[in-house]
Amino acid sequence: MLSLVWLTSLALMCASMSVLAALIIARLHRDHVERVRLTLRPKLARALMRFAAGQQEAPKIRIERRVEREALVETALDTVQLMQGGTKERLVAYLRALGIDAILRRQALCRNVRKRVQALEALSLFPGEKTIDVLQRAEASRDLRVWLTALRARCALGVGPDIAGLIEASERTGARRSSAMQELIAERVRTHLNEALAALRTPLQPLTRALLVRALGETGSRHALDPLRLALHNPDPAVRAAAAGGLGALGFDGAADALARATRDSDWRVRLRAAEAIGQLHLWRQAEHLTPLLSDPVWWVRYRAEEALKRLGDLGVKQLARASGPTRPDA
Amino acid sequence: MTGSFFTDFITSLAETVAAIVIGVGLLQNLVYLLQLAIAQRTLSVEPPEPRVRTLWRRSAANAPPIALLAPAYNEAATIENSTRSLLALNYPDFEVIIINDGSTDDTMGVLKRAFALQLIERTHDTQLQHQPIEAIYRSAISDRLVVVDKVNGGKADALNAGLNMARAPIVCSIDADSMLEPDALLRAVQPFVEDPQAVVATGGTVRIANGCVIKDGRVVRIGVPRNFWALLQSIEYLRAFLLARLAWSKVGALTIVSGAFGLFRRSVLIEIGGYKRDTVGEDMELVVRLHRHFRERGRAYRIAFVPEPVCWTEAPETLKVLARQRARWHRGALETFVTHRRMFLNPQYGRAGMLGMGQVFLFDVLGPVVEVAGFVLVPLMWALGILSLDYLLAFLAVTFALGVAVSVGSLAIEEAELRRYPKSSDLAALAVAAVVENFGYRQLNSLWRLRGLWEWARGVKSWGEMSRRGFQAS
Repeated sequence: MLSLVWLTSLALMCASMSVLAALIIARLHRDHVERVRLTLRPKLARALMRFAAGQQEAPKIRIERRVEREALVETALDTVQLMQGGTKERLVAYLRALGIDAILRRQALCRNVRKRVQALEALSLFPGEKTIDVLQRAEASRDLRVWLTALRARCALGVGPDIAGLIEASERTGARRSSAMQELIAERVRTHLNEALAALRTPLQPLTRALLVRALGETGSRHALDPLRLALHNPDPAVRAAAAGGLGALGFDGAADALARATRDSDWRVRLRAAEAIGQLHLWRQAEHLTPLLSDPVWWVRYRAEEALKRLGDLGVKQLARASGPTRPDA
Repeated sequence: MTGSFFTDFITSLAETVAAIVIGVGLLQNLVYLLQLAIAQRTLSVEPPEPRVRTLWRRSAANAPPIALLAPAYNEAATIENSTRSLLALNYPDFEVIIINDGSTDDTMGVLKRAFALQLIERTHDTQLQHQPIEAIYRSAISDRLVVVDKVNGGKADALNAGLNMARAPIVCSIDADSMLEPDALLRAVQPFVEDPQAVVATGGTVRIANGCVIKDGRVVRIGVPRNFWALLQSIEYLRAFLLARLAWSKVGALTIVSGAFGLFRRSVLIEIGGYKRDTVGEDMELVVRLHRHFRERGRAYRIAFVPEPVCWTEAPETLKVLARQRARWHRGALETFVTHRRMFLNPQYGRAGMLGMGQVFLFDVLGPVVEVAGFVLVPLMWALGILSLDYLLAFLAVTFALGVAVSVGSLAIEEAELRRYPKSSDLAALAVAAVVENFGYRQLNSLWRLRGLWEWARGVKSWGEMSRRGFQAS
């Protein structure tokens, strides 16, 4: 027993000392690699930019060593993001010829999440069957960031699923709460209004429905007016709040009465969004519906109602002056 | 006969005490090693994104507005630099709310002069209770800065005033004597961006600024402290943040988000009644209460720890101040444990109760008593001839070896995945500290925590004096 304790102590001490020594040696090596990388990057950036601008022939770039490959990938991706149109296409074609897309495809399937995400983001520059195959394989990842980045890259390449497919995928993976996923769906709604309207006619989770409703408002399309008005009657307060917010963003005054009714909703979030929307749309005829909100039990509603009244101009300010009593910090 | 009985009794008592001490010590070290493994795996699979530009491109559009709440009490020496550091943060939408908690020094005067403060009227929420607000100011130089001047009520009271004052959905509590790295908010907010519904709180890493070069409230060159005690604390902070918090967060049992740097969903803090005002461990108490609140209601939630956003803080450089700080921290942990003792090993509270409160009991309640008992009783038993020298030496060897292994492990994780200290000589200094801190410093720490236990038992409630030199500008 005693020997075992001593042996354990000795082993632990030896391991600790070895780790410390290894750390210091690795640091010295890494410092050297970093110096090489920092020397390479500006040279590479200059060469790539001159090539993309047509000022020189394809530069001869060495990518035998790992540090050279990494420096090239980093620099190339930074440089390509600064470009558009023909220069971008020329540079992307050259990078493809160098085999950068193959490096990225390998990196997209490695273990390190950061490297995977980085590679998946960059792969949308290199369309093609192999890329799509890698993206689809990455979508099998259990890591939400990897999955989502691969899905986004596929959407960016124009081969992503439609809104129904995105919703199904987000519900299946639990990504529906992610802001990035919501942004992806909202982006699709903005460009594919009919898909969104069709999806709204199907059974959906309240959060998803709220997301669609909010995104519909941002399209600014008249076709969204009726579905948003209808959504104001949804039993779920999150959907009603999103509908009120969406109507404000939509920019049409056709839902003035519905918004006025929403200021009397039992849920404070709906009242808040309705007040905001009335201010946003300058619905001065509805100013009288904002006045009762100045004594709402929820401070945020009072605050937004005050802001909305101010946005309605003289009439709103007068209503505000009539309603204001003795000064209170929370008034 | 009596003599033999007495000897047998003492021997069996000594053996029992030794067994408890060794058992608890082994369990603690086992937990440390598990933390090391979890932290290593987490950081190697999910290493942080080193480039701020990439981070900004990915998440700036979805980043929610943040209100930074910085309570200040007698911080005249540091407040100007700290405020400048906060205003210079790299984040799309934020507001800085400094809450002057009735300072008796020139904190308010420094703020007024440095930031051209102008008296304003600002409507605000009143749901949380706090001492009266005397005035609210906005800076004429930066419209992001609001200063609330209120009657002294303590840190938690000041934070509650800030919570009422905030309008952003996310609030960030920060000590007014600390400095956030420019990209800290953007990094710390990531869990809120990834899962805006479930995430209610996130914490970042706190590191020691002693030894760094500071300019205009920013760390411009990272270095290790030259002061011996501060250097040892650097390793201790690495262990606490990179190992413990990362690991507990990964298993869903994180019981503390540092008061020096934590992000919270404002509506949730209002819902649970804000910060508790009669404790010195308000940061830990808040997080434990969050767990309790959500578990009791069966609502989904997540409290996350993000290792890469860094908040730099000034560490005490004298034993006297350090001892006082550690005793206070320990008192705070005990107060929280007693307040929420119902959660301890209670399956209703899931991992937060079983693992989170379990580790609080193991490390904070039992820890100092057992550690001090071990370091006093084991040599005493050897002196009385109850314990053989071989066993005494073996006990000491394994204790120190495990301590060194854990400290070195945390340094290895830091170096492999984060590499904050740029100079190789800094790494060498930290490597020495990782070994040295096990011989004396850790034992002192146990004594200070025991003092905290004694103060808690006596019902001491004060914060004690925390003198600061202020960050040295380059």
